[in-house]
Amino acid sequence: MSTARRVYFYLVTGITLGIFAAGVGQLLSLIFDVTIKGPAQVGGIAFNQQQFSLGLAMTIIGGPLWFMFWWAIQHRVTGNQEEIGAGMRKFYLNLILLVTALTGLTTFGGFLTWLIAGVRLEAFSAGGLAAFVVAGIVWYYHWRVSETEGDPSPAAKTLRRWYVYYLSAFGLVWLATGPVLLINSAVVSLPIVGTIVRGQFWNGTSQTSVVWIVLGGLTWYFHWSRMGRGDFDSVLRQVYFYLLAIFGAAIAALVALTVTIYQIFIWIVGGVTASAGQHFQFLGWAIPTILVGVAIWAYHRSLAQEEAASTNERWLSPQRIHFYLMSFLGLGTLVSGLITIFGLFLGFIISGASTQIATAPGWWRGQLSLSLSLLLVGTLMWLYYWSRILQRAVAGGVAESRSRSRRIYLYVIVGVSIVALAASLVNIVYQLLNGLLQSTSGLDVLRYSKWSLQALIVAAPLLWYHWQITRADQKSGAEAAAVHKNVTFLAGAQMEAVISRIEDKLGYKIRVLHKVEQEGYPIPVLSDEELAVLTDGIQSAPSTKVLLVAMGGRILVMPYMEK
Amino acid sequence: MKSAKRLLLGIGIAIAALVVIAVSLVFFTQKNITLLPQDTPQGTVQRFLIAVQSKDYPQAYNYLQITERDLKVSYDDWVRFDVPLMSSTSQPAWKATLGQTTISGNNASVEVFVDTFRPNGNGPFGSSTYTQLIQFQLTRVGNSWLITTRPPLYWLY
Repeated sequence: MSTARRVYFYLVTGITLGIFAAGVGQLLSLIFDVTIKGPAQVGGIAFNQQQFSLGLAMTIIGGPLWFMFWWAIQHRVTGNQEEIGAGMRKFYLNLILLVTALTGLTTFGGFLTWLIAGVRLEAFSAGGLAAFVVAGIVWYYHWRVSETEGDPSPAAKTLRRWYVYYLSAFGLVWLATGPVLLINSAVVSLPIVGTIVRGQFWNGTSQTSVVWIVLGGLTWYFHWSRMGRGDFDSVLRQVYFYLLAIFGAAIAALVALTVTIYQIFIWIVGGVTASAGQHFQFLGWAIPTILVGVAIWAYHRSLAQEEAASTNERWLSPQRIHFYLMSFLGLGTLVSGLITIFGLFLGFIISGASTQIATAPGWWRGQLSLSLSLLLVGTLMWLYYWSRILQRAVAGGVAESRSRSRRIYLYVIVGVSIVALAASLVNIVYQLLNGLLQSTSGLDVLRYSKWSLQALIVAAPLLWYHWQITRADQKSGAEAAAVHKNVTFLAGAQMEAVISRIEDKLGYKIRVLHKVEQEGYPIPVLSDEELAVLTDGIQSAPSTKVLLVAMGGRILVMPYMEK
Repeated sequence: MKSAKRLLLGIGIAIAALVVIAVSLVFFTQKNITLLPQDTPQGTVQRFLIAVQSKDYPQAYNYLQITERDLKVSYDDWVRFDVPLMSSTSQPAWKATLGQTTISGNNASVEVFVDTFRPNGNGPFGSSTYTQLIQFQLTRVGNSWLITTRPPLYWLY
């Protein structure tokens, strides 16, 4: 089929399936309404008639149309591997799977919540249950079709991965959020001293959280452990690992940890008027968030390390991005803590020298607690991740220094520090000159320059340190622009490792074409010396366009030009 | 592919059966609504909603006793501020099911679940009915009950 024909077929099939499914949903909703919920006291007949009319109209028009178009597609697809692996078909199948899975999960969640809330017939949502049944059937049918025919092309594999990792992430978020909400709901309903009225534990929040745990757990298990099993050679899997599970869990746990430390410090320094029971009620969500965050972080991190040991360097990019993001987050927290604590010192100086009597007693408590909690969390986090980055830089050499994540990280910090320094200096000089000319007191000048001084004190060493690293990288050749040639590799099967090594050595990506007949082509084995000769050959080729051909266990370099 | 075809055939048969059941339910279970006793809070709320559904707003107003600053809200003010303006074609179908009723002396509270039918509600595979819980507060006046809180009618849109 031509691409235009595929688009036409799948678009019309998708639309007719939507009409058909909505019609069946209306009829099912009507049946559930009449049989489970019972008659309404107002407007039931007109409501049911409208639902029936629309449901029947959509079913009898959408149904045959969908059958016809789907049958036509299946007729052309049967036994045709090219059609089975077509990107358009896989996009259609995975989109249907994704939409129906999400609809089914949310509507089934509503139904389960209703069940465990005590089965109040008047509160029953017939439409929700009908939507779940329809979405479930549509999902199951398309899943069977998808599983039976497999994923015979790279595009098919990628689209399936999008579905698998999106649903894995969705399930994980529900699974992680459920326990936190449930425990917090239990803590809030504890009989704390001084409470005169308290809510029931078994409320809407706790019921929903139980449903989230069950459905989130099942969804995550099915998609992650069953559908995603053994899918190591996938960038999306690495993105899921590092940027969603590990980074997301770390952020959640760190925010909860910072809040916990802050609340403990402010309690210690006497900045709280509420009772201990009321004050520490936040632990109801903070401790479970830390525990759940650490559990997710540790599980995915150990799994990622295990998988990294069995795969090649090609998949290190998401890990690198994760390290720099976490380091940036830690540094930001540390800088915030430093700015706050310097503000506290300056505040003490100003308040000591001031003759004003309006300063609130104990004004420093909140600031001190905040700065200490930020410093504690930020320092530990930054030191951990920055030391890992330094180790990587030593091991990876110029290739690591050249990496885009590192360049962005360093230049963002240097740039922000310079801007902060410049803005602070402008304000300080302005306040000084203005104070001199207008005979403002030194204390007022200090008061008006307080924030600028705080920023200046922190930004100066930050700039100095990162500038040194940037200069060292520059001297080692990290900034030397590699001559990017337009390289196309006509490769056989299972050559990802070779491609990855060539890309790392060249410092840029190459285009890969896969041979149709992949059997019988031996995988080239390149020593480091042979790899250096190959990349030198590419770089010194008398053309900007180079074709690499894997043949007989060797890789031929063929410079070419278009005429 | 054969198993997928069998599955498709099974789904087709199930849908045909579903249509037959739905037709039977619509044509054989149609009963007129039983009016609840007029001297009960549920009876008042039911009559109020029936009047709203048939756009008989003067009749609906008879079941209200809403006051603001100790003055009863006039019919004109109630219609102007609480009854949504709409064309006859845009009004969605809705039905109301009574929930729990709590009576405490001369005051009562009635729960009503309103299902609104919105065909374009939540996408092709989502539910097209939207359920919401509305609480009516009533007070006893002689032998009857009157609604004292402004009943929200935004779902009529």
